[in-house]
Amino acid sequence: MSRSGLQEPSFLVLTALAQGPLHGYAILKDVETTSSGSVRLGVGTLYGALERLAGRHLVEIASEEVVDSRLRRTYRLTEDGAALLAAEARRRHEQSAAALSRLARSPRLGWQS
Amino acid sequence: MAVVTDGSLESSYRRLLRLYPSRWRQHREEEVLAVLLQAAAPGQARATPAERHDLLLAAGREHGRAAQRAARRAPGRTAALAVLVGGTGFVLVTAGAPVQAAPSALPPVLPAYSYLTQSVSTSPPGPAVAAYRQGNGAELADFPQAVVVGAGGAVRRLDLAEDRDEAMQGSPGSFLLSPDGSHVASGRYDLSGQADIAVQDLRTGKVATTSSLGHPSVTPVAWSPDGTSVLASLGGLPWLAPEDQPVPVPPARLVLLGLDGGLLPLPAGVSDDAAQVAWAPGGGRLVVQTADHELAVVDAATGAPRRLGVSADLAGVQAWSPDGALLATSGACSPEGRIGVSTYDLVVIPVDASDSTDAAAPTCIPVGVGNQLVGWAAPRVLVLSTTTEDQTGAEQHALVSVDLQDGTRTELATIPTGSGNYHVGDVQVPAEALAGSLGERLHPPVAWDRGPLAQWPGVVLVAGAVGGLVAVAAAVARRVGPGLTDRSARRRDDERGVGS
Repeated sequence: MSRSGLQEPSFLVLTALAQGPLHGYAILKDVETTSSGSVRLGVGTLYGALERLAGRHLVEIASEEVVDSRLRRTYRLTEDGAALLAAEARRRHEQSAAALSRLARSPRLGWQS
Repeated sequence: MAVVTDGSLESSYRRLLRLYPSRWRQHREEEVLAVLLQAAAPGQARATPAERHDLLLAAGREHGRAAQRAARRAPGRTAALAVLVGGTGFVLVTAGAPVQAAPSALPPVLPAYSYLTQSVSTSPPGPAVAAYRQGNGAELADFPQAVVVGAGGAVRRLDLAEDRDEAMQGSPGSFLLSPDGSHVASGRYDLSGQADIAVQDLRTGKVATTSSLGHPSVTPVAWSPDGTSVLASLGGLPWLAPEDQPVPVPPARLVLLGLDGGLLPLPAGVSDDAAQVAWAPGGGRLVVQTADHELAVVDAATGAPRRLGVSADLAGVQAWSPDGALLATSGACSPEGRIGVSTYDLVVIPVDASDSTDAAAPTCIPVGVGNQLVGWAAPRVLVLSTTTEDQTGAEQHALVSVDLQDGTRTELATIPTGSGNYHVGDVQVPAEALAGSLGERLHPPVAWDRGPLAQWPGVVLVAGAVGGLVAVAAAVARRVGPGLTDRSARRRDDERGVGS
């Protein structure tokens, strides 16, 4: 993985926050929806990713409020975070395109459409 | 969405969140708990296995990050902690059971006093090649110990005797090693008159204790030759017991106890008012010493006694010579040839020779105050526990053999005493190990195994040294090249970023 590369949980968290500030539970739900239910982040994994991303100044706390007597923080992308997400999305897109293109030229390996 | 729980689910999550670093918990715990509760399934009462797995892994990663931060802030302290934790783990993992072996010969040097020695109950040393008291005598930090030296090189404190020191002013209770060195019997003083006796298996650490024997003191006197029973003397309190403790003392008597703590009939010919008893090698005869210091040899099968006509005390539990021909007594020879009771000298008495032959003449050995008979290394060579000087002139304790025929004295083994600071006494060695100690012997272990935790101070010292070195190196690096450390910090940050 390249230096700018992101692990899957971090990529999905940044993707969730690309639509705007979200709190932890909303990020979990969005990741599940975006991945069509194939990825369900654990709460521990989510907050581990948020800690790492905040440490790299890719996300930041947008607001803190108390809901039903419990602390709720919402997070948003920073400019660096948005830029890195865009770069990572392009990289993944290019890799996927390359893979599909090669498979199309090798019908024996399957995939003929 | 409002989350309603009965509290058990929240407690379940909180228990898992306790595994995170405290700083993380201050900042995150309430927030993460709220998300966990929100994400829980309806009716869920506790954390699911998947949640537990996820939180455990995440907590581990947070500890790793916390350790990295600590290492950047205080590299020396972190390095010391890492060595301490790693070293302790290494010590505990590599500490196997002590090597156990049958006692065959004394090592030339027996272990000196140490505060680090672990106990028999913690880590049994196996059959003993020696047992003794040490540590009395230092003005400061006077913590007397009873120690057992395993034939395989493990030395352990006899905590059984040390814990049975009531009315002994901190000195361990009485103890007696079995003939094969595999067991120790330990008596006790009891101010309320309810003393008992306990037997510990040195191979397993297992202890069997009798019920109260109804006397203020119980002292082991002799093991039966097969090691299956022990004679004990029931008596009063020692001279150093508190004087304001009036205890009714029943008449002193002798009892025989099995290894299960049950009372057995006394051997034939041994009355319960005898003061001392010692079985001859092979067990066919016994010598019985009465309260009036009269000695008689008793046939073990019939109980028939034969008075020796000598008034003296038996010199120790191994009073008989290996061939059963001689008896060592704490006696004194008067110029007229009469034998009297003494604590200064030894008199070796022929058991079977008729009075009319020269062989009947006792051998008188002036040995001095405080010396004791340990046993015999050969039929005419006895072994004394005494004080000698090492090559530098410093006082040490020693087991010295004395040849009765030519008077030759040989140092069999020594015990360092810190130039007399750690007095040694009550040395006991199985007969077989004494017999194997004459002539050439194997070298002793390079270092005594004092138990798995005895290496901790060394680990702490190494951790301190490593921590100090790393702290100094980090300080020098900061002073000499700030740009370099900044670059390395950035590089470390970048490398950490790889996993994000």
